[in-house]
Order: sequence, then structure tokens, then C-alpha cells
Amino acid sequence: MPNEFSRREFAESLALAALVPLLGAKVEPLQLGWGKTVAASAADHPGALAKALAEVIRVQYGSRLRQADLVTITSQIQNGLERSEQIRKIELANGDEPFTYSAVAPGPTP
Amino acid sequence: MSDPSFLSVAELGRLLRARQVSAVELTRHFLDRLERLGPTYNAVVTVLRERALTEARERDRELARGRNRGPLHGIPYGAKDLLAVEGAPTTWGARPYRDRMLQGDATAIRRLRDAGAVLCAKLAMVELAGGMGYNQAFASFTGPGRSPWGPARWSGGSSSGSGAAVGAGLVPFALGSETWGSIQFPAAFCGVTGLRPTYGRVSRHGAMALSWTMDKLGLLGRTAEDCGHVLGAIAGPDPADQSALARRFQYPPRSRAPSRFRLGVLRGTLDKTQPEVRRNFEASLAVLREFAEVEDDLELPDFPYEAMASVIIDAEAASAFEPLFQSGRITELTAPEDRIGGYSGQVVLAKDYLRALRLRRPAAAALDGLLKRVDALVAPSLPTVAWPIDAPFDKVYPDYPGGTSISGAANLCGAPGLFMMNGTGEGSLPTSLQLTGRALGEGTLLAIGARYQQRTDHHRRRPPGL
Repeated sequence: MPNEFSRREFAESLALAALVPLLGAKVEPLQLGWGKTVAASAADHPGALAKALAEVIRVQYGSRLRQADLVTITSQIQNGLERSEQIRKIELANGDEPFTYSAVAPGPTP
Repeated sequence: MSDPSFLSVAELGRLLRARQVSAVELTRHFLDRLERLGPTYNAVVTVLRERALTEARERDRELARGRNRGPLHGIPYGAKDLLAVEGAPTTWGARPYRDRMLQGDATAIRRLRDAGAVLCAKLAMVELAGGMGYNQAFASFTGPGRSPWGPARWSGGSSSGSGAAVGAGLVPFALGSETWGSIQFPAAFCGVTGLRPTYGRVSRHGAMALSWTMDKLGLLGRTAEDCGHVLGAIAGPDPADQSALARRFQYPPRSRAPSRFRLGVLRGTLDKTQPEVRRNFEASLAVLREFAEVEDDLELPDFPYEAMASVIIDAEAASAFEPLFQSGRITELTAPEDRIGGYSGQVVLAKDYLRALRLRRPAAAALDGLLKRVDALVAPSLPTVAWPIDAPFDKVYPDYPGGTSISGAANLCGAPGLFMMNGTGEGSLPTSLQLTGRALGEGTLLAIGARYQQRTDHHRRRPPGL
């Protein structure tokens, strides 16, 4: 059901809405769904989710970070979200499990 | 004793067994070089003179009694300073840990001792193995790693000291590690042979974790043959590391290598590489064709390998180094960008991390589908020669970002790689050739590498003045 707005994504939008006062900026309603970007802007124009996640960093570590650091971190978060968006474009089945160790099929015995 | 500084493990072993040199003499020779020349390249963190001489004396006594532990008996070496060594600081290249002492030896260190090798030094590295996103050579409390081929050039990272020490003849071989490029870069920039084993080949017990599912221990040495001997000593199962594979590695192999190999070249692999890199790669292909069929224009399966690897490393590093964030000591790192580069990893969404891990199996299967068509993929190790030491990485050689790269895919999927000098390029700096093979295919890569090095002498060239 690629174009449905999932419950988790709905929860994310609620979480973002709750962060609006902390961000001091207007958060647009999320337009999430298959093939769409979480935040379509480039890293130098971070989206709402990047700003929200940066706020998490500010809340936890803000006492040691300068405003310029937070700007950089927000941009890096945006980059990460865009990488995640690339990954999200590939379909997975429900049963595809996380693969941690020994990530490749065995080759010839040396 | 003639100068043994640039002899291979095999050559040094022959001298030792013929009693033309003692382990103590060899060890003193390399200890002296480490102390005298190591600072030139910012290659050394701790010289272990007393420990090394004690071990060397014991190896000599054993040889006198007729006990020979094998090809590494009495051979000095160095280890990247992310490996625990009893009685010496283990710094991870990072100022917060410069005086930190860990108990016990890492499994790889212990296995090399059991094989008779003599640990002489802990070698410099990029702080936290580059896990905080460094963008310059000045990213270690020991200073920027300098290439023996030109001290104004970077030695590569994060196994900076391992590459420089082998390249400058300060040790015959050195342990290193690679999460993504950390053996590849120093091997290429220092003109030495590097081996990145299959994920899980070598126990990581006692090694710093940057990314549990991508970290690999490997080595830098003079020849493919030397790499085989060392891998044979350090590979194998380890109850202390559940990711260590059960299979051991036999070197030399019991079975003979085929008379001809099958090699593949990815489409676009030479795009946007320096002209000398391209020229040397084509010359290497001509040599390889003497004993291999080469298939051109292979396609790398279409997966977002780099994105997946980045998400995984970001998330795992954020967890691995969480104490540095909690304590605030992350601010003590050397490179300013490293002091803030890890925060974004703290907020990688769990679903994104898990998705990258879930995609890894189909990506690995697709990559293996390509790799099993050939014995190895061959490519330039890097699109340029060593980078100037005083420029941010994102500003060096902007015209040569390189073409299709196997590096992200191979590291994500745990595939082994072999890196060998294949000539010189701009500024008489080394260029390098890489082979990538199937999981557990190190024996094949080393056989191809050995045959290439039998036909060439690039691996025997010394840096100017050394």
C-alpha cells in the first residue's frame, strides 16, 4: 500500500508538531509516503524533520554547542535523512530481517 | 648484516632461520628506525622497546633449541593503536584516551605472539578511526600522518601510522583496520600492500569498535605473500568475538592456484581519475592479462551502498562512542569537525538504521552474484595520488572524484580487498591497484596479487631518501 500514510508516520507528524514551540518555526504537515521525501530540501535548507531532530541534540547537549555548531549539525542530519530516503526507495518484504554479521554468502574455501 | 629495512617477511624469515641475523638484531634495527624516523611521519604512538627485546630474546632461544613457530618467527611488526596491548596505552588516536591502559592483549596481538612475531610499536591512527567524520589530515593527537613518499602528503587514514611505518621501512608489516577505506587509503598513499579481510575473518576482540557490523582487522605489508602469512596467523574463530568466523585461513594454500584467472572491470571505473592513475592501471591490466582473462564493462548491482554504509556507521558509532558525548570529552578531539561530527548519528532513526541492515542481505546477495562471475574485480585503489596534507579533503583534487567505486559496496557487504602499488603518478607519488573478491576469497586475491608482484617490481620501490 505504497501511498498510505502509516501509523508510524502519523506518530512522527504528531511528535514534530509537539516540537514546534522548541523549534521556533512553523512545521509544515508531513507529506510522507512511498517515493516521497521526508524533507525534500538540500542540506543547506534543512527540512522540518532535520530541525526537529537537531532540537533533540540541542536539548541534550546544547550547553556545549554554539549556534554555528547546531547549524552544522542540522545540515548533517539533513544529509543523513536524504541518505535514508535513498534507502527507503528499495522495497523490502515483511520477512526481510536485519542482517548484522557475516553479511555475504560464503565464497570458495581458500 | 645488510640493510633489512625493506625486506619482506619471507626474506627476513630466511635470514633468521639461516642464522644470518638474530631476532634481537632485527628487533633492535626496527626499534631504532621507529624511534629515529617515526616522528618524521607522525607514525608512532608508543615504542615498546623492552617488551619487544624480551620477546625477541625468547624467539632466539627457541630457534637455538630447534623450535620454529613458522614464517613469522622473530619478525618485528607494529599495530594500529586501536588494539589493546597489556602494559601500554591504547589511545585510539584520541586525546581523551592518550593515557588509557587496557587490560590484556587483543586476540590478533596474542595470535601474532603465538606465531612468533615481535611487537615493536603501537602506531598512529586517525582519532576514533575517523568515526566522527574528519575532513583533514590533522585529526589525531599525534599529528597528521605523513607519507614516506612525500611528507607534505597525507599517509592516508585511518590506519595512518601502519601505512607510513611499513612504507618507510620502520616495520616489515603492521596491523590495521578498515570500516570503510582505512586500509585502502594508507596502502595506496604509502605505496605498500594492504589486505582487508572478509568481515569476520579476524577476531575484533580487544579492538576499538567503530561499527560492529562493518569493522574488519587487516594489515599492511610489503607483498601479497607477506599478507598471506600474517592472515594465516591471525584468522580464525574466537570465543571472545561472536562475529569471528569458524573457518581458519591456510597459507600457503594446500591446493595450487589455477594457471589462469578471471578478472572483471566495472564500467566507469576509470572515469574522473588522474591520467597517471589511468595509465598505470592500464599497464597493470596488461600484466594481469598474461595470466588472466579480463572482462570489461561489468555493472555493479544497483543499490545505495554508500548511503546504507553511512547510516549504519553513523548509528553504530553514535552508540559505540556514547560515553564521549555523555561526558563532553568529545570536545577534546583534535579536528574541530570531529568535535561536532558525531551528533547527527545520535538521532538516526531506528527504522532507518534497521532498514539499512535489512537491505544488506539483498545487496550482499546481488554483489556476490557479480563477484562469483570472476575471481576478482580489479580497479584503481583511488583516483588520485596522496592528498596534500594541508588542504581539507573536500577541496583536494576536485576534478578527480573517481568513477564507479566498489569500496562502499565491498565494505558494506564484508568482501575482502587487496591493494598493491602499481606505479607512480603526479609528483612521483605512488598509485595503486585493488582487487576485490568474494567472501572468504582472500586466498584467490593473494594468489593473483603474488603473481602480479612476481612480474613487477613496484612493491620493491623505496620512497626517495629511504
